[in-house]
Parts: sequence; C-alpha cells; structure tokens
Amino acid sequence: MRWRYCARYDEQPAAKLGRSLLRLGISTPEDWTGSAVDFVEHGFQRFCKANGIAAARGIWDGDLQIMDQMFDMTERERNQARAEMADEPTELLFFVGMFNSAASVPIGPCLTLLEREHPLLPAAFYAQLRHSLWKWMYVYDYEAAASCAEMGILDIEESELADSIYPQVAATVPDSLRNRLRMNPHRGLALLRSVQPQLRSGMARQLVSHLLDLSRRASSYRHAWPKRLLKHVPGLEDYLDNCDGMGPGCLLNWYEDDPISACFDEEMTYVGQNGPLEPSILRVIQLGNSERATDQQVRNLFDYIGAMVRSLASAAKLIETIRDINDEHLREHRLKSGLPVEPSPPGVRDE
Amino acid sequence: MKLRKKHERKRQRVIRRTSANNRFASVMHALESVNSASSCTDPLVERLKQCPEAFKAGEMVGKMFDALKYHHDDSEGDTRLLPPAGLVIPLV
Repeated sequence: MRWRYCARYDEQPAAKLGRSLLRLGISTPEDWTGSAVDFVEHGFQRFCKANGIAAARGIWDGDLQIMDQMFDMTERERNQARAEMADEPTELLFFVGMFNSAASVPIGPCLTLLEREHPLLPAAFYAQLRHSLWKWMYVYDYEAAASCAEMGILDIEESELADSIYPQVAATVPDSLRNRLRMNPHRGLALLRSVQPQLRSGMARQLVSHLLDLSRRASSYRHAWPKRLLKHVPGLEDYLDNCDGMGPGCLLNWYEDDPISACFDEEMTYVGQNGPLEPSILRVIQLGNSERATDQQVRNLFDYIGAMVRSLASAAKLIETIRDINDEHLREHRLKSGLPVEPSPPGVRDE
Repeated sequence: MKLRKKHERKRQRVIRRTSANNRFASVMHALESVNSASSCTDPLVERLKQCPEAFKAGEMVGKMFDALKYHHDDSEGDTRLLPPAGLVIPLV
C-alpha cells in the first residue's frame, strides 16, 4: 500500500483486504478514519505489535509490508504499469519481507560454554539455530563463507594463498563442530530436549530454553521464498532475474572479525550493485475470489506473519543472550568488541 | 433495587453491543462503497470533465514536474507541451 495520498483506484485493493480484516477481527471499526489504506495499516500495525514486533526490532532491521505491487515504484512507473493493466485495479496484494542489515550472531563463546555441558550440545545448538533462522531469512553462515572461499581460491595465485583469508574459513571451524556441521536439525532438537533438564550452567539453560522456544514457534512453517510464486505471479521471473542477490537477515559467525565475517564483508560489497535486492519473503493474496476464499487466504497470511514476528521476537532474546556471552568472552580476553554501542538495531552491513 | 441495577447493566450491555454492531456495519458499508464506486463518480474527476482545459493544464504541470524529477539532463525527443489556446498562466 502506498502510505498516503491514495487515489480511489489505489484504495480499492485496500478496501477489499480491509473488509476481510474486519470480518476476521484483525481490524476493528475504530480503525476507520475514512481511508481504506489507513484502515489496513492500523490493523496491520496493531497485529504486529501484539505479536512482539517491538522486541524483534531490537535486533532485526527490515521491513514487513503489504503492497499492491512487488516492489517500490516511482509515480511514473506506477502510471505505466496502470496503463498496461488497462486501468483495472490490481487483484493481487503482496506481503514482502526485506532485511536492511544483517544482525551479527557470534556464537563461538556459546559453543565453548555448551561443550562443557555435553560434547554434542554445540552441534545440536548450531544445527537447530540455523534451521530455525533459515525459515524467516537468508542466513550468512559457514556454508556461505566456504562457498565464497572456494570461488575466491580459484581466482588467486598459489603464492598468495598463505596470506589469503580463504583457507582460514575451513581452518577456523570450532573443534566442537568439526565433522558435525551437518547434524540433522531434528536430531539436534531431540538432543537439546533430552539434555535440557541436566544443564548446570544458568547461561546454558537460558540459551537452550530460548532456542527451544524459537524452534517451537517456527515449527510447521517454511520459508516463503519468492521463487515459490513464479507460476502464480506474472512478471515475477523477470523481476527476480534483474535482482542482484538477497540481503541476509543475520551473520552467523564464530567470532567478530573472523574469516566468515571477512567473506561476508567481501560479498556484501557487491550485492545489490547491479539491481535491486531480492525480497527475503514474498507471499500473495488473490483478491478476485469469493469472500470466503479471500478470508481464508488473509487468515493464512496473518497466521504466517504472526508466526514470523513471534519467531523473530523469540530469536531476538536468544541473540541478546548470545551477544552477552560474547561480550563476557571479550572482557575476559581483554578484546575490544566490534559491536556498535548505539541502542539501534546493530547491523553489520549498511544498505 | 438489585433487580433494577441488574436490568440497567443488561440494558447498557445491549446498547453497547448494538452500537458496536452498527459501527461494524457502517465501516463495512464504507469499505464496500470504495469497491463499488467507479472512478467516473469521483467528484474531482467529474469536475475535471466539466473543465477539460483545467485538466489539460494540470496534466501539463504534472508532466513538467515529472520531467524535473526524472530527467535532470536533456529531454530531447519528448513532445513539447504547449498550453491550451487562450490559457493565461499568471506569474505570481
């Protein structure tokens, strides 16, 4: 939805969605100010607030938007698109999720702490954390860095290899994860559940408890990748072809400034330079159907949005604990933290 | 006395519920009217139809702003926009 100054033409899709939101009780009559766009916006904001968007915003920096086009357009592009559609209002509404920066999640010190409790706990924790976060975002992790390093090694001379960061990506994998990086997340979850009652350290209990909470909230949902909608949204394939990569929601590294972070910095220098960034999440609502069918789609979408916001809020608590443990590690080893001191969402990659 | 209070509370509840139902229906109706109304009944569009010169002048000014916004360099090849015959644009 365009935020303000909508013509009647633009209000029509919002009015259809608004009626459904009113029937489903997500919007209330008190949200009505005379504009359908405002009406939907009020209901959507209240829904996100009730599901913990404020807690999620402490860590994640991005946008969740309901729009009548897949991407932002200038007024001229909108007019052209409208002319191509023979001036008919759109029958599709899009839910778009984008991350503006990636949250830093340095889990090395946590793995050391968890290893003291159980030798397989670090691998179980890592597998389940990755699995739960991937449901809502692109996670830049060891695998992404290893892939970047593999490509990078091909481009450099053998003599330069010793000074390069690329071979260090594989070399710096924590011992507790060596040969266990690919643990099945379901096995990891089972292990976390079975080990939880025996945990001695308060911090370890907190980590496992937050992760199990995140896992519970994210279970039975899967990532709404834009590519899943290729057959249903005309023009989506062309748009995605023109996109230049996707912004990760988080950087899952071992320590700040480790080889994974170096590969991340290198890749992020180029992402988005030759086109827009691909959305992390894309879902659609078809408005031309019966009231019942529209309500079902809207109910499903808001169920998904609610699960996403609750999961991100839960993950935010977990990441705060992970960062506290990392800060403690830095203090003990007299290292200076690289995390920003501002209270704003700590991003490591600017747009 | 107690019965009267109970009756009063019940009456207030019914009033509140009826009022909420009315509000729900009126908002639903307002949203439906956005959907059912076609652009030709928009009062602004109606007024513009009665005065095509104003519409043309508005379109022209809009295009000028678009040109300023999107084409900072040359605009060769674009059709030159002329005001409608007889139109006076006051210099304020």
